[in-house]
Amino acid sequence: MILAVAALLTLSGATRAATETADSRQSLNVTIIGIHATKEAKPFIDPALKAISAELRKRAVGYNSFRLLVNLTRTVAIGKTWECPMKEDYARQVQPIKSEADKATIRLLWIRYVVSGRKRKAQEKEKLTLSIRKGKYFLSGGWKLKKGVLLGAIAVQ
Amino acid sequence: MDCDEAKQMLAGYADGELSSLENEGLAAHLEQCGRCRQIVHDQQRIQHVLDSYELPPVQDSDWNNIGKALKAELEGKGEPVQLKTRPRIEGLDPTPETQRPIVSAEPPPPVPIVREVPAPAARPRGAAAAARTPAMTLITVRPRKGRQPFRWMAHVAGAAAAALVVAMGLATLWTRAAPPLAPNTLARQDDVAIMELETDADYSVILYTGDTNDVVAIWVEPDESSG
Repeated sequence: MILAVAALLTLSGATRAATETADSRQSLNVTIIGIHATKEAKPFIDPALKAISAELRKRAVGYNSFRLLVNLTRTVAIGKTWECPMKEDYARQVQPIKSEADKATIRLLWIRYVVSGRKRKAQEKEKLTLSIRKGKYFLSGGWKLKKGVLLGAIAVQ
Repeated sequence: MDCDEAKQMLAGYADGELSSLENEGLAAHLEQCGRCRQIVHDQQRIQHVLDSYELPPVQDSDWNNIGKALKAELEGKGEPVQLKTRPRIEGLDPTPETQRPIVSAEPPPPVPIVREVPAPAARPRGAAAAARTPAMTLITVRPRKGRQPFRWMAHVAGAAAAALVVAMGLATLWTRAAPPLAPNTLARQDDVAIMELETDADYSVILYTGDTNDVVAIWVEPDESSG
């Protein structure tokens, strides 16, 4: 009986590994992080961002407070687009283009929705195509908000 | 000698255990008393039938089952073994005494497992034995609690299935977990290759690449000239 369970587990693991290999070529696990940087009399660092606060200060010069807005992970198929809303009508779109063993090619968009008449229209603020090593966060941002700026990090696996 | 005294000696008389004096006294009473004579006659008939009766052989497996059931009963784990019907012997009318179970008077409340043990079909001895009603032994054995073979296998299988589900769930969570936010997980120059970049005309772009150990980032600044 125990042998049967062990065999089942092994088979399950092997099947899962094979499935994951096949899936990793067809989809990616994408993580999008949104950060709100502000200048405050009393600095505040979100506990989730404490480890990278020094790097954030180097890029967002002059800002001393960083709050986590979004931290989401989704499986996105190659060629499909995932849009993640951020703050003040800003959103981030990601589209996996290609997946290799240790890196992936993705297209990133910063967009902002503006109301024009009765319609809500998306403006492409920044379009970026890059190849990135899996498991690494790519930082970008600087989008002006009413108070502070918006930045984000994105990683794929 | 009166009837009461005679009745006390009848059993010994039938068995031939009385002294010659007692025999003479009782014989004198029996010549006079038809009722006591009938009792002696009945006892002798019973003795004769019993002497000619041969108990059906008991199989080894029957002894094993009875032994196990009795052991379980002694240990308080099982129900008593019951012989519901005793062998019938022609010439002896069944009485409530003979129908009583050998071991226990109370039948068990649950539906019992009844096993029939037929007696041998024919007996070679005597006309009475040939015409005898086939004997039947009904043994009632209650299922013993706490001794259910292979039940542990069900528990093991259940636990294994639960562990499998949990392991697969954890594996799914693990594969979908985001990389930790740490300095060593921030992309550096060797980790990123910019292939295409377009920005809004209202913003200037700063591409931080720095040296190999520097974190790569794209930073935008509002373009003051655009107004």
